[in-house]
Amino acid sequence: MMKRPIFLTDTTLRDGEQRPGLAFDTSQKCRLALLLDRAGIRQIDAGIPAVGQEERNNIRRILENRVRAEISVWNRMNEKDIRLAMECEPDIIHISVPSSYAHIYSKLKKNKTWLIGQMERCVCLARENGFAVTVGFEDASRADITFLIGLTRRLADLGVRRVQFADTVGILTPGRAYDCVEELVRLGGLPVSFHGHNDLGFAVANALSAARAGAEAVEVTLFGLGERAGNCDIAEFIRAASPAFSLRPALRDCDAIERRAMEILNIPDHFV
Amino acid sequence: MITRLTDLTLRCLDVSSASDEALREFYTLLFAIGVDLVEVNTEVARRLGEVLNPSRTVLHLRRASEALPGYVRYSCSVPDPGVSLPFVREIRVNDIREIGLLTRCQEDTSLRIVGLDDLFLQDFRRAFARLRRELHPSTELCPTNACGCASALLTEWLIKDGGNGAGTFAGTGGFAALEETLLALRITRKYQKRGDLSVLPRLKALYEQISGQRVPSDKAVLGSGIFAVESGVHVDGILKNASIYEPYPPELVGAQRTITIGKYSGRAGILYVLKQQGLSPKEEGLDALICAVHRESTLFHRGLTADELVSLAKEEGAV
Repeated sequence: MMKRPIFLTDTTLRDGEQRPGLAFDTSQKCRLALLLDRAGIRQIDAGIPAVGQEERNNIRRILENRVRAEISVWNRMNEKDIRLAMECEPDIIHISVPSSYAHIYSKLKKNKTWLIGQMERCVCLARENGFAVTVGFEDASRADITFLIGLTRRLADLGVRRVQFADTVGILTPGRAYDCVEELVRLGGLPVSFHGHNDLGFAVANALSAARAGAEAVEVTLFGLGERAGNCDIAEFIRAASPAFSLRPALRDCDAIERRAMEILNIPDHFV
Repeated sequence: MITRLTDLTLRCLDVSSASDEALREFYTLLFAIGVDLVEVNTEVARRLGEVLNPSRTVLHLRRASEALPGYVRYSCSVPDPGVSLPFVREIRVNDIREIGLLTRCQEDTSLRIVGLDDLFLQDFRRAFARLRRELHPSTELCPTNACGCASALLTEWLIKDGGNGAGTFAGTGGFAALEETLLALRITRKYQKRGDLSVLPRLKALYEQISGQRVPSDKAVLGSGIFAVESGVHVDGILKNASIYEPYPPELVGAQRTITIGKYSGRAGILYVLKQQGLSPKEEGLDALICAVHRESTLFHRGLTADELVSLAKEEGAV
């Protein structure tokens, strides 16, 4: 029987590097992107254009060297950030939309009406300029799933390619991950990717559950790098998921990728 | 409710270089975090001395004939049907399809199922329902970690209808990490407080001393770096309301939050650390300071210390 493909997005260069104490330079970022690209990764989250000019230069270098992978950039939900992203001419502009009430009312100090309007303005700005757009629902695991479904349907009308269900604080259990993603896939009308964190040690299990629930893509990092307890580890996910799903990079390449990445990043032992 | 949670750490670890004091404190603290039974090998049992509580201890034997009376249960690598003691019957199940082979164990009240690594590739709820339907309610699940999912499996086993489970501290020996399961059960709010997780840092220190192995700084629940925050968006959110970017309060697991400075630091984090240092940051020069922090972090391939930040702030005229 044919295995269903799951697309992997590597976010080592963006979310992985946000692990306190890590800082990659241009050469490291470009070599790492090329390593993953040649290994067959579908998408690389190359960075945050709003961080600064050097970050934008890095993103452009990664785009110039790219072989096959799609290169995306991560953005907050504001028009200034989207304009900086467009300057880099990435394949995909990813817009992060805070979606839980804690994020909307407590962090942003706004409301849902404002959020929907701002989201639409940002998406339309990128779409009208010809960019493919994905939208990430930040803190989706603490959000109202009905609200997320409503947002997804609106985003489908705006031509967004995919939405991302982000377990930003890593509190999902596999059962809940399955239920949330299954409902969003079934009722939202757009493909879904899953972005998990490892705060409870469940990042791989949650990603597997999301894949079983119909997620099209899973976000991963090398060595599970990332804030707090990190993200879903690319090699661990591939090892666990390969019996049931078709994946690139292939399982047989994982050890070599990790060895080479370790050489490139020169990460201190205590980081991995 | 969980009926019984068993810790196997002191069965798995080589404790030959550990002190008796460390072993005794470790054993005692396992009960404090919410473990019901601790399984130990005969050497550990001997060295625990007066802190040993046989009514809450499973004795693991190399040969059934070595059994000492009085323990609540026994496990054995080489069972002997001739020895009449309450033995755990440990059966390895690599695949849920092998459950059918357990039909002869349906009435067994001492069954421990070890394995089921890849259950999340299938309908795990259906598999659990089948286990509950076909086996005795006292069956204990002890998932193994070849797929990195053992703690999640054990949590799902316990979360809905309760049951018995087994694992180890920090996932020693390739089993479920019990601290992850205990915390997950706590924060899903479906379970009443079982134990005090604030003793975990002490337990971790003892574990490192006993095993000679370092717990990674990003290890879920236990890592020393899991409450360090650097990125501008996250620091800003945490300073407004910590629950925005924290899965649970650090104090719950005996830890503390730290704000660090590095490549992804933003205005809020830099201002916070400068004020912590007793300085009064000025608005002019702040943008230049942020750029300088990003530049220096990238140059050194690491975060910056508070002293380094203060020096940069003075250079850029931000204080």
